[in-house]
Amino acid sequence: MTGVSSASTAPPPARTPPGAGADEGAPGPAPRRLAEVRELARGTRVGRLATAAALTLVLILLAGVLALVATLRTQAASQDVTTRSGPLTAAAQELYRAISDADASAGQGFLLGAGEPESLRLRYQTDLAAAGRALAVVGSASGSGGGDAATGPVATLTSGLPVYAGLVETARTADRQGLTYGSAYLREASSFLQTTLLPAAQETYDAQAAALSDDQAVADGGVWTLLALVAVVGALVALWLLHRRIARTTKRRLTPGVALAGAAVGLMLVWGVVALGLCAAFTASAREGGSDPNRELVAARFAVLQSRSDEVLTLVARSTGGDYEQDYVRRSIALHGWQGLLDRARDEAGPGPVADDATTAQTVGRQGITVHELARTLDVSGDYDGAVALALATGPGGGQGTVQQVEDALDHAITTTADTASSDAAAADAATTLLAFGVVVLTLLAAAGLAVGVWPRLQEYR
Amino acid sequence: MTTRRAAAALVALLALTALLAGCSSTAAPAPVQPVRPVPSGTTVVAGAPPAAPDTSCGDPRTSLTPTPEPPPGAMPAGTAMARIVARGALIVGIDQSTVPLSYRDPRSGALTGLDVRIAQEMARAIFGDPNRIRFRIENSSQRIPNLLSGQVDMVVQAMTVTCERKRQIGMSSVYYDAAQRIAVPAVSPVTSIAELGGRPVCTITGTTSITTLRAVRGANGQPPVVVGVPQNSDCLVLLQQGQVDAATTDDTILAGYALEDRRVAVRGAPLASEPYGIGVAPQNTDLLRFTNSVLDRIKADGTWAAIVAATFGGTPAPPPPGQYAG
Repeated sequence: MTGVSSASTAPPPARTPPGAGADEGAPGPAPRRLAEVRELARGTRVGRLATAAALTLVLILLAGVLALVATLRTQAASQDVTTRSGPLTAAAQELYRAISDADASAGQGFLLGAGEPESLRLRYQTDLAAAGRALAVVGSASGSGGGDAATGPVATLTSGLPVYAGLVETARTADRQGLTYGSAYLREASSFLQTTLLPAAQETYDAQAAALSDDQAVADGGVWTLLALVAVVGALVALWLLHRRIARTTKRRLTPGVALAGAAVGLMLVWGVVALGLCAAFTASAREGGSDPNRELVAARFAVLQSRSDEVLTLVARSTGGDYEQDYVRRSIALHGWQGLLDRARDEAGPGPVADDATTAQTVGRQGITVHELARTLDVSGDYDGAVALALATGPGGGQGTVQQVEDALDHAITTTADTASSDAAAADAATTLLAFGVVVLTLLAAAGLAVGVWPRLQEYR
Repeated sequence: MTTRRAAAALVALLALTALLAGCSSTAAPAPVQPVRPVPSGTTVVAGAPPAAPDTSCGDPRTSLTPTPEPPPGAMPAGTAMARIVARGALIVGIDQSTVPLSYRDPRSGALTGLDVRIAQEMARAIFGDPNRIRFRIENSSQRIPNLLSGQVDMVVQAMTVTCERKRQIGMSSVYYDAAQRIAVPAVSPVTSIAELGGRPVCTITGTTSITTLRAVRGANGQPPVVVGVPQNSDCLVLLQQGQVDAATTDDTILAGYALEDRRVAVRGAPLASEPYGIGVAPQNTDLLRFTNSVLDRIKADGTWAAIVAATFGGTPAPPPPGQYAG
């Protein structure tokens, strides 16, 4: 390297070794001058070659490092999507669904009283177990949107769920004994769930969904990938220029080492573009065909569950036109209204089975509102039992029947989008398999090829 | 050289001490707080007590003089009662969540209670059949609007007669003399509201009870902490959970608490009188006079006493006399 650096500073004629001139053996002024020029040119030529080779080497190493960084970042993010933020988002979603469904099931079972079917009781108990499990998954991932361990949403949920379950059981026991204040306990339980537990679950879900979004944004490229691409292309161009220079100055048509280096960098370019491109494409697909519509569908599912709770609680509270009913109307508008959650989910998904499911949910859900209105009319006109029977009827024209159809359609769409998201995320992760290893090997190969190819040419000048 | 090394060691020691001190001070966890849910819509009502009650109508118990009661099914033509007969049913605005005034019997699912039985007597007087009645379930705030819009013929819903209400609707003579009192846990030493200055006391928002409670001052000079809830049974829940020291509302509703929970006792002198009347639309003075005559009759013939005994048990006090003018 010392030789390279001294040569690259374009040595003045004074520094030319005295013996060099003596070799020419021509004492005349004209030939002496010619010798000096030739000496100068020779020195400059070796210097230029060495400089170019060094720059190319630096570019190759830079390209390798940048490509490695881009690959590792993409890999880490896409792995995070499949192994961490993806599953955690699903767990947070399950948490919300479970406690929301528990609320609706508890209310329904309470309304049915002695007629509560075993399946409904089991559904409530399964929901509680599912909530507990999802909470354990979310809680064990430290710093994953759980917030402060002592005061964050996960702590709120952990300490609140047993209190909720206790209130529900108190309500059941009172009702079983024919005490009318049972419904007050159930309303207290539900209110606690709606105002404390669900917001905490929502906070957890939002944090996870945001983390997933961030991972996806990293996994589909970004500035590092762009920089790596520029550096790799730059290295390739530099190698080509170097090869051409050697070919011109030494009349060798092929310098095998440099050509090998070029091939290695070229392969790295192709491999990297294909792998990272596929990763980005799959990640984009996972987001656009999966997690984006999934988010809207999940919000719609949440709204369906809560409006269901509102309807049931209006009956449990034996109140008319109260807060629950207003809440029901508000949620129904958010869900079924123009450009509401279901419309947005359908638009996000684009034509296909998911959009069909969203349309089904929209159509059946609107029928469900009509059933709800009918049940309200019955209740207000004094036919409470008729209202309860209609609201809880599981047939296609009954309140529970239509809600179940809406839930089924949404669940199907949610499963479809979640599957798309996770299979595309897995494909995105698989696309970059071995790329990091390949980048390292190819970079070293290119550097070695360059050295092997250029070193003899530099020696020739000695 | 030695001093420099000693100084360096001292600095390192100090830094380590500071580090350890920092560790131990941040490691202390926040104290654990119990999770105590409250009923939906629970609020603590503060601020200046409301203005004195409206007495512009004189004695609000005074209603229109009753007319002689026609036989059932033979209502004079052109009256509101005749229109009800033509329709085939009396429409009554009522609540279905107030034990023991109007509620769904947990076993049979049928509406029952003092108000329901009074309303059934009205149907019996018009049709000769207590079941020719259609209940319209409404909350307290819907009572007057539903009368004014003609959606119900009458409201029998624990409605205290007040001058403010009588300016908007017609109100019958008093069919039950309730009084605002307090309910406390049976083990509580509290015997009067005066002992509850600065203590949490539950009552129902949007009622005359909360107005009365907000004007109360305890013996220690402090007002009670007024905890308002939307439904009657919510106060019982707060009382059972020990989140309030007492609940105060009409003794009829408090009697319902005590009926369902023997660890709750109704105590103390009345804070306010709560005379219940039946509401009718302001233009239907004929229906109002008819209602008053029916009330007078059932108070005289023992029906009233039977209804009150069936509702609260025991031997009822004599019925409140009807006061009439005009």
